[in-house]
Amino acid sequence: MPDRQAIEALIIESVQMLAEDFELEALKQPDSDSPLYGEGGALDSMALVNLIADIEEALAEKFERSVALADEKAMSAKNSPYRSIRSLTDAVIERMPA
Amino acid sequence: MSWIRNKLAAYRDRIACHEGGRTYSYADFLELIDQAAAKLPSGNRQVVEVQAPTTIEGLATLLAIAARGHIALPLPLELPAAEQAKMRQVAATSPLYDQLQGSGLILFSSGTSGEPKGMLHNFDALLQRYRNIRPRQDRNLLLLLIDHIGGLDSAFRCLFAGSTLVVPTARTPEAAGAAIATHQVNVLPASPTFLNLMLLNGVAASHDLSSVEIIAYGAEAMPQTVLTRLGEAFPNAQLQQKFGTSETGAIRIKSAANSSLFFRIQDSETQWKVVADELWLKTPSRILGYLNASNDSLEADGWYRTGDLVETDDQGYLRILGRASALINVGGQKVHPAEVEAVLNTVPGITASKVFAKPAPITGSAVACEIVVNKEQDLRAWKRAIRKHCRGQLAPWKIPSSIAVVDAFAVNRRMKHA
Repeated sequence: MPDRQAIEALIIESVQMLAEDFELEALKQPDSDSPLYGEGGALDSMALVNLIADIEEALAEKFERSVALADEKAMSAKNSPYRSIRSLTDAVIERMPA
Repeated sequence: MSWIRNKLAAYRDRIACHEGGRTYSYADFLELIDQAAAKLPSGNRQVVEVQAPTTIEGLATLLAIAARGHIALPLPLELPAAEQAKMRQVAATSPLYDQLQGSGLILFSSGTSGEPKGMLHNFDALLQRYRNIRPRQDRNLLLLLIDHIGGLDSAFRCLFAGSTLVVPTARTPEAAGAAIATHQVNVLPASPTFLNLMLLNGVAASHDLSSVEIIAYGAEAMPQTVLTRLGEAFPNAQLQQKFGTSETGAIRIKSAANSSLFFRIQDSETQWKVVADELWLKTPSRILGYLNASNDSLEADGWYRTGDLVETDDQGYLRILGRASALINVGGQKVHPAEVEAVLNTVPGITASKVFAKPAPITGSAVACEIVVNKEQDLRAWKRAIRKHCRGQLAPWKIPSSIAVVDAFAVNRRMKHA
């Protein structure tokens, strides 16, 4: 299983590329704590939908792991996994098959 | 049903069909009908399987069954044995058969659950629609099998007009091109998927297709890009949109213009209306019911709810947007796959696309697509190209968020995307 650092790097890269595609200035140089979706976040719901798809496809391509980040659990979680890069990384690790 | 015999006899010396290296006159065709009639069971109405080695013999058997008042069950030999067995089982008995006056015809459509859905037509009523057809001398290519309303409509329309059916050796773009060139086919009825395959395979370059005067397309939404490229590949051809459903038979329509997807229903026997964006049709040739599925789409007063979503303009023209069942709901916003596919097909390097729904956070569903491409680049680059191309042409929620590159799309035996 890829380590936390590798997963976070992949998510940061996905956020950067999405920021370029969607022209989101606030997310062109993201770090672990950059707010994504929700309070203070730069993503609207469509940008989030695209980011989740990008991350899922990148995980499949780089690590050959199929991870679904738009599951029931994520959507009903008290603390949304889509808040920041850190919380998204947690969500990926939690869902990644060994 | 004597009108059928009289009509065909009037064409006696004309050519009815080219198939398998043989040429059949209308006199030959009448003889095939007699031969088929001789083999039919005598006595009360029963379900008769139609399994003929050639299409023209299959058609002759169908007409013999209609004259005798039996119920025809076309089971082309091309179908897998398991599918044939399933159809036979569905058609074995039904309470609907008692409601039938005159002959019957059982057709199957691919149900959404994957289970073939059997339906019972009043075959006399279906044939009656061709009674007043005017004589023509066309040469029509027949691509669909005769277990399908589109194939039957092409075949009957051709034969009752005294034209010539041309059956290719295989239902491939290559065989179609060869048959067109050999027999100077001037009418080409085909699905948009098949026409696109012909273009992709370069059939226009390897065969002389200049005889084609009419391309009749239907059965699924036609991408505007394919329509434009067809205009270039067949400069002499007039493009005609066809419309019909397995449940009602073909409906006569007229396109707004040669390259337009808008059409007007011009059929004295057909009433239509649009209810909540869905097209409803009422024709004398509607099916009596489904053999193995709910009759929810069949209203008691004769209307059929097609499941096709349409757009109408103020002059009464219609355009098919897609199937209601294929509609994608992105956070409450509706997306028609065909609309997105039309834009994707104009991205340089993309030759075909298929759009569908995928679960997504917040919005419930998102738009996903598969693309067939003719140049190498990584997925990331395709994604970027698509986002860039679609922005400004499609609302943000319609732009695909998930993209996969595939080698080719499976085409089912109805010549539509599987």
